[in-house]
Amino acid sequence: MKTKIYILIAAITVLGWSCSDDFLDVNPKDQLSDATFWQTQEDADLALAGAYGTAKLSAFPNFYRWNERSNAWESGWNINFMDLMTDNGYSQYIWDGVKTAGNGQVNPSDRNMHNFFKYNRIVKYNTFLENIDRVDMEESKKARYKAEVRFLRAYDYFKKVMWYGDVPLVTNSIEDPRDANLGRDPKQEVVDFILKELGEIAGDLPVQNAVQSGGHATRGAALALKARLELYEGMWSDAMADAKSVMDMDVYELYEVGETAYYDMFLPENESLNKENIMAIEHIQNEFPSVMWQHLLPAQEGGWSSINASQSIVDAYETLDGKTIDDPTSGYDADKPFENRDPRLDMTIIHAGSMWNGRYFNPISQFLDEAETVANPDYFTQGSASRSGYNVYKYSKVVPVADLRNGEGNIIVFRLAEMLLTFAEAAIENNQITGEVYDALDRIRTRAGMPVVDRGVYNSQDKMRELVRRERRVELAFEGLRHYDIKRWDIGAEVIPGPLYGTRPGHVDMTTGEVTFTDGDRVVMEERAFFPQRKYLLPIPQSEIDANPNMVQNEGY
Amino acid sequence: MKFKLIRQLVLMSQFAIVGFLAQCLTFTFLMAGEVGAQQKQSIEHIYLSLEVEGASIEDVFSKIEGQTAFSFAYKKGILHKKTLLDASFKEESLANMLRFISQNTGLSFKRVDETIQVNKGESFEPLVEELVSVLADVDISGKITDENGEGLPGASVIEKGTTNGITTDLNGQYKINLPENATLVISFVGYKTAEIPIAGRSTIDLQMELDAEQLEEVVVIGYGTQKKVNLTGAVATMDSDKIESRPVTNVSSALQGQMPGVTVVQSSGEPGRDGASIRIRGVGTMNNSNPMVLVDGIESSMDDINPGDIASISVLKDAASAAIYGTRAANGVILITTKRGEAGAPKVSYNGYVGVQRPTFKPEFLGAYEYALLRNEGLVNEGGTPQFSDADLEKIRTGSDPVNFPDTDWLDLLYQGSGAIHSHDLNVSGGTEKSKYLLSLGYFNQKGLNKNTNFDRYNLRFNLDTKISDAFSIGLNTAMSYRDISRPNGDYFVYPHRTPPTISNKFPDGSYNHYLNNNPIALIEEGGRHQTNATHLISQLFGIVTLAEGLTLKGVVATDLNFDDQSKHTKSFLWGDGTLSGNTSLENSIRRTRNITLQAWLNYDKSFGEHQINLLAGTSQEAYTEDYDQLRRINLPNNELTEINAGSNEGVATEGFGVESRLRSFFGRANYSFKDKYLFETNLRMDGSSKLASNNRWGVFPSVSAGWRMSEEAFMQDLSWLSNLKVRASWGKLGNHRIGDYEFIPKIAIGNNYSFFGAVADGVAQVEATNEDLTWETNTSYDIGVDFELFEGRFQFSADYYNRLTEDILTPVPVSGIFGLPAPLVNAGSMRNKGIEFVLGTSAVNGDFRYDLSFNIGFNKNNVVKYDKPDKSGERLKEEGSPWNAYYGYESIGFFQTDEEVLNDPKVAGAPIQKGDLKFKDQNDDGVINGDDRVVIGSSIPGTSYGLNINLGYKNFDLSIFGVGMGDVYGLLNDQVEFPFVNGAKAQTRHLDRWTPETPNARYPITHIDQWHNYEASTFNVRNASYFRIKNLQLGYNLPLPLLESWNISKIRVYLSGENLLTFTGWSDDFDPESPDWAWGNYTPVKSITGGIRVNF
Repeated sequence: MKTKIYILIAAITVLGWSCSDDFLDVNPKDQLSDATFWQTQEDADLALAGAYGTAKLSAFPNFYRWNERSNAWESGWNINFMDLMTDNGYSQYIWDGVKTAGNGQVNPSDRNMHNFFKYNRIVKYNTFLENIDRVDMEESKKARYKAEVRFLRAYDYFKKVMWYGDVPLVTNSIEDPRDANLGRDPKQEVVDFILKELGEIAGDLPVQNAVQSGGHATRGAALALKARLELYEGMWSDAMADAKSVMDMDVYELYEVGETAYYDMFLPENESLNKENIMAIEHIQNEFPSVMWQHLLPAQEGGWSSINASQSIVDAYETLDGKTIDDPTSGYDADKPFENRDPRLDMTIIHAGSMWNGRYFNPISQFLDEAETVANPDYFTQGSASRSGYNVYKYSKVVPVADLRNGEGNIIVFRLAEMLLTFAEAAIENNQITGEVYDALDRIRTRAGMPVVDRGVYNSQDKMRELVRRERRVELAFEGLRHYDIKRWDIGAEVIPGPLYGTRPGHVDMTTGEVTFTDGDRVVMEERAFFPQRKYLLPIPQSEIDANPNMVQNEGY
Repeated sequence: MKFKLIRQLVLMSQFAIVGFLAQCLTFTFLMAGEVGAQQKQSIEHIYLSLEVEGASIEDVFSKIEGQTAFSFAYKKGILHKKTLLDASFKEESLANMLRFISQNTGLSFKRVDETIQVNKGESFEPLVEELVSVLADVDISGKITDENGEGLPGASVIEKGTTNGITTDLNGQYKINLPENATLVISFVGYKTAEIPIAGRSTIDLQMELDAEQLEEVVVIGYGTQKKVNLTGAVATMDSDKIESRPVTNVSSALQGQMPGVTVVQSSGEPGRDGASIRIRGVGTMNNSNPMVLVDGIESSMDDINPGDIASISVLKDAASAAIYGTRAANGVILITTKRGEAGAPKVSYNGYVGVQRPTFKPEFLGAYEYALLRNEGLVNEGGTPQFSDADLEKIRTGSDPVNFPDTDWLDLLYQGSGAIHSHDLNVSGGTEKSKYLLSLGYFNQKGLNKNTNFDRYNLRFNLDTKISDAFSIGLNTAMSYRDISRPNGDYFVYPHRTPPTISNKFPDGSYNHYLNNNPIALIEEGGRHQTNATHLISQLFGIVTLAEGLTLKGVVATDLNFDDQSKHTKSFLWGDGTLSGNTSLENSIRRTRNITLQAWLNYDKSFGEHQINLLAGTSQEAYTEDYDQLRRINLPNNELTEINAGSNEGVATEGFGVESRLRSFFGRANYSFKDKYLFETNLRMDGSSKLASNNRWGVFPSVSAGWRMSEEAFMQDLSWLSNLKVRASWGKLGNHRIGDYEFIPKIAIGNNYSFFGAVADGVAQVEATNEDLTWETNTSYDIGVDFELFEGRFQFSADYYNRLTEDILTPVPVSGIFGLPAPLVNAGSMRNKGIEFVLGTSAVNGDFRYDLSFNIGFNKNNVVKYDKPDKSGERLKEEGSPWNAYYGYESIGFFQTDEEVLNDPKVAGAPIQKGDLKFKDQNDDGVINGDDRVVIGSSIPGTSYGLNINLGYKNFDLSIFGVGMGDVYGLLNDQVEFPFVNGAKAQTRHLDRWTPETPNARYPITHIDQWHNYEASTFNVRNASYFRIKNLQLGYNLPLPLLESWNISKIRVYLSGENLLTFTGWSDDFDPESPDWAWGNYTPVKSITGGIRVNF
């Protein structure tokens, strides 16, 4: 009987357990609550870093669709890969996302091309700007923080208008998803907004080079972006003025340390010396690594050769005496194409016979030995070898396989050389071809080991235009700007369609490095199509067209 | 058929205690078995109760005599008349009672056979002796047979008016010695009890008559059991023998094809990761459609259960039967009941099998020469340079340079594992009436189809039931399982399907070659391993107290603990060309989950004349936590070191998260039946969940159901062929609780880091949108069913119609990308599933031949009723009016045959179309092909699923054929295997059947290396994935009894079994229709042949 009573008591206790609802209140323990955030300077610091950065995709970086998932302010992917949709290069793997944009096959459902359209960064920036005033902190610091985030927002809209033309301009956070069905604002309106913002914030940002700013946006970055956009929009005087004011900031200077300064400035070990750097994507191993080495490096170093240079860019380099290769007096020898050339060719592209990682790079011999028994992984038909026979040397560095996808190297977004070229081009277009213009071009050429501009040859606006365009292509190759240039110069129909060529087959003597080509037929990577009606714009993602009744597709898609 | 099931349950010592009612049913003959044995049994093991106060010794003796077969022998006068005894014994052994009496009276006892001699003792030390003689020869023997003349084992044969008796053996034989004038009482559950006077005979055989009234198959339902005939909801059941007789690697796959409306798809055969997906009556929500699984009443997972431990599985399909589980029941409920011990001497059984597995389907890839030719063709078609020169081709063709121009069959290299499986199950059960136990041990081992894949599963279960007193009993269920899965790292299964045959695996010196820095065989053999060690501990303690007649209270405390350890060790090695495969690394993770459940409920069961009621009221709460931690280091100095400390500090990375959720519930049920003809039931559940904001978190889920057993009506009694006819109808509402945690709380995510000044800058950002108004998804459904049985159960037929409407489905309605965050969840969707289900069965025995056939089929139609914005972004359509996730794409209408067609016919803008490419139909005749021309191609949710069971027996042989199938379902083969060369893949034999100017009507379009246009979802690549497969084919043999008796073994069955042996499908010759969507990347489903033995001691 006693047991019965115990059980009854126990049962009643169980049945009648406290009915307080606390039991059902649980909160996440690994995320902050919006209600208690935005109070202290630390909160502002966290939010500012969050504005630049991205969620770790995993503690263990996975390269696949990395760019698509990242919401950092900018991604090395957008820099290093972007020239592959131009005549500068070829993307051999379709999943890297730029191949279709290059050959014209891009379509609205092509998920890889949606990255730039995303408004996930805009949300971060707008949220920051709406809440930062809730934080109690030093006003000047707060002003700088705000200016930095407004810079990031301007940068994002810059990319949006470049890729899509008219885009919705959203400057406040949208509470209800149903309010997000916005139509497209005219491109001009967005451009005006960007320029106005950059003008307003420049004063709140410090005059610092990237070494001094540690990666934060600076006045130089704001004006560099402003000058870049003004150049693209044909606002010559404004572009000249803004580029000039960056050039005149005494914190910047061209990187000229050593013979190979042009190559060295992109290496992580020289970051702390590089005063040419205006602003870069700041990578750090493990936490925010760069995956570019994996894509750049040749097969033998464990790379995937995702980024291939084309014959067209190789041919763009002048000979050492400052002549183009089609000039019969240049001394260019088609059978020795890499000799006697602008040193930047060797510092930008790894080609047959290049000295690379202690060996002669050889993408054109099927075998490494005479007996034809040792297969050559770098041979252009092989698995992860460059299809064109050209790998990109800029940003490449021999690293342990472990670091290929865990790189610490920063990717430069703005550097002084671009401002010099911007100034020169705007001045040329404005027909103000002064000594300052020649001087700007000379500074770039001499740093690279090239002679100064031949004032005798380049003595007209047309000739100067030709020079500055070539100089720009060569100096800034594989830095992600070629597409914008093709677009604003409207030369797509000339440079895009048709077969995309790579190297000629041949043989590299592995002991002497001597290159011999066997016949004239170049490797063809792909056949490209050009659609002028697309006006160099990407398609609006189909998912956006489906979800948003007010969204209209770009022409030609 | 059912009688046989019950008989088997009793006999094979796989005794299924299907709840308390089953216990009562079987009680009768268990007792009978015991009393018969009293003559031989020790008095230490004969239990009885005795309650006396101030009784004389003589009175006590006569009370004991009244309860047992013993008589006391003593000289008058040795008993002190004045010695009065107080005694209170509950189920105490007779020996102990005698000791008690001895101690209190000074008497000593000596038991000789059925007599207990009483003597004066020397002291008050208790003295009880026992002397059991061998019994004399029996007088009466005979055979008890069932309605078919087959021996009926386990029937009790008892002398009327006494407890003397015996149970029949496996052949239905019995032997007993009894007085000449006695009367035999012969009984067996499900049969009419017979009384036969011996009348001097020495042989008495009896064919027993069925008793439909007594046949009360019991099924497990939520918080209790129910007589099957009284069910008013849609409950499907499956007994242990259906699982035991098949060498299934996991429980979920055992459910396949067994019950109508329960659709099971097993898309992988990977050791330790081959759990099947289960859908009950279609896909009920746009979220997680997995049914709720309870093991012995506690929510758990079915992955770790030893199939041999299962006594029965009930699937609660309609809202009426599932409503008692409220917010977790919307997708159906699967109740798994484990075996329990029964009173009696220990019963030991062993079940073991060994077998070998092979892939069900194996794609046929082109050899090197044909591959090279086709690849060159593809490159040339796209304007590119051929990859293989004529010289290369010649070397490949002749095989003159096997190092550089090999012909490698990567699938052969992949399938080098033994694929062996073996399983051992040992089961011991027994106990006394007071305390019963079941102990089971299981071991299962499976090797992969590839090398270095191994799966071990260890199971231990201990179930105990103990009566503390008449009114109070407790029970304990504990189960431990340990799974140890070891497999290679990385996508080792994918790459053999991709790596070209022109790449060699190894160089002559034995070093590995690589392709795109990858060699799947090297990964398998040298790449390190991915180890999963999963420990699952379930313990459940329950107490049942009878408060009054018919009123019981049950309380349960249960914990379910999971520890999932994973360790991924990546080795580093040199490729043959001298480059390094990568760095060494070690990634360890542990996931721990804990679910603590408290339950208590009152049950009241009472009959008033022809009225019978059953009431239930209870409450439960669950607290679930999950923690996950991961750590990683790289650059371990060599491949032999496999602990974190060995790694470099430089590559240290950690990650971790935890979630918590809680559920509190109140529930009740009322059952009423009148004359066992008119049946009513109603359920109510109230659930509160931590996953919703406090103003939305409580939900109420009611259900009602009714049944009418028409066959019990007077006007039906003339129809002698109709043994049962019942119609039932039900309505109910359920909720769905399977949504993420914290969805309603606005959060700011940590870990959006950047780098400033070369150091990590911790960052945060809002990356999710929240909706604070989230509320329950609700599922309202009704079910109408009918059950028939004809000719005393020889033919059975059931049919159900159901209609389930799920509303307020939490779904991220596609939002414009301009919103900038992933779409928040909103209660925006609704979908309907309706369908019909049939079960047909028949069985008969004809002399030595017996058969048992059943067929079940379910038809389901899924339709999205409400979805705010259609989502047409992928190849699966989410739109009102269509089945959920229906395949959506173009209608393929052949190939572009001429340049004129390419120029003039409608095509996708920008697509690089040439002659031989796929041509799509311009549905809206606007001259271009774009998203508007896509149409619904077919449903990805099976419209039909069916199962066919054929069991045949002849003498000691039995043969069973079990087939399952699916119809009206479509699948899209991954483009990397549907088309050649996509994303670096290779090509298959069927790709040779391609368009060329000479073969304009080929199966495949012109060969490309990459051409996205052809890969778009269309009627070309979305195909009907219906199939029928012989899931299991089994031949068994029971060793003859005379032989077994000489070995003292009650049963030995040996069997040969084949799983997935044959598949009929139009889907593909190369890939399994059960895993259409993942065909390319997944470990293939497997077929197996096994041989097994089952022994009952």
